[in-house]
Amino acid sequence: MQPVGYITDGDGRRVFALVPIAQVAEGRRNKGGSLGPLAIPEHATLALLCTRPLECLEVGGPVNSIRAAREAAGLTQTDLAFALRISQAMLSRQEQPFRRVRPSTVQRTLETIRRIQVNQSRPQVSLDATLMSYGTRLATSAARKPRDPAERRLLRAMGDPVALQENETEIRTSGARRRPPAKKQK
Amino acid sequence: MTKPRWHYAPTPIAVPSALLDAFEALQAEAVLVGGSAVQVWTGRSDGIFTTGDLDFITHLTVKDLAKGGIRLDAASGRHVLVDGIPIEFPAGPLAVGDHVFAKGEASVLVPTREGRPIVCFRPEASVLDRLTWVAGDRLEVAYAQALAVAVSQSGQLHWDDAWVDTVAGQAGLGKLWQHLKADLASGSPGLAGLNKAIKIGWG
Repeated sequence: MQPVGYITDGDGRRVFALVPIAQVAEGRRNKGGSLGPLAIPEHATLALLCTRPLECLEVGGPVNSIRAAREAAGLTQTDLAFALRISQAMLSRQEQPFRRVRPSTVQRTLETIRRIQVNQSRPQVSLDATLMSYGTRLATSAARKPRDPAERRLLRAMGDPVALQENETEIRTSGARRRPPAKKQK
Repeated sequence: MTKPRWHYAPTPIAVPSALLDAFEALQAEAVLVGGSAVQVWTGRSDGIFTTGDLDFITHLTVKDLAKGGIRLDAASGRHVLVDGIPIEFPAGPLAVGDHVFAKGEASVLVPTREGRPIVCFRPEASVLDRLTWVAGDRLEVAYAQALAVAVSQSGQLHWDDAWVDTVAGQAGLGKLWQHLKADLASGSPGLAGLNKAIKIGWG
């Protein structure tokens, strides 16, 4: 049998081994037989498990998927709580090993962690090098910016360098937003 | 005292305190958009990031500002000068292309230089706002601004590609956004990407 965890006596000494029930032979699982008496250290350890489980439970896998995922992503509780727009105290409660957390909360948290991982693994882009590569295209296109003549007059009067370079013929009279052309009805 | 923590990484922007007072007095949730929002998210105001005015989407009109204590000597249509800074109230609602935003969906609080926060387009919305100029007017400078906002903010905790994917599709900017995303992921955007962006248009 392959234990997946241990219950310790609080000082780190392993007293019980946790074995998945699937590993126990079916005959013993179903019939079982009478439970043997506990020795004093075993009794004390089970009492500790009931009162302070965090101190005596030692398992190989994650006890809490939120905490495990956060730690694997290298995120602090402060950062993740901020990203989730919840308090750090609330996240801390959600991360407690035996806390019952709604599946939707777990899913939302794991999605946020994944999103942050994607954001943090983006390639570094040099903005200045990119703008240089565009050459004079940017300056010429800035002069093509259509604008309300009244706004252009106001900005030019204030010495706005962009408005001063703009072409007079590029006019946008209303302040309406840009929208895709309406689809033609058949 | 600990510093306030802002969502994304905004750079404080100068907004006339008289205007902030007026917004407060009139209980207006004015959202900073356009070139000034680009300045907030790129932290730059040089070259193509220069903008002479502040654009706010709000239910207020320029005339309403008088009730908030603003003198309207230099007002014209949607424009007004406040403490020497041109202010524009572009026509609402808060939207990009065909997508109209629900309240709070596309805005976040950002700091001003005088300390009081204002509401601003979130950076993902600012990218899409710039892309409407690329699709509608084929302005290269707008693509460069969109890319600059994405470069500056897409590594932040709150940046949400999935949100942009959805909104871009509904706004008629799906292809342009996917192109910009790929340009960014290449690690070295350049002239070829710009040329392709200008040809894409709406859709």
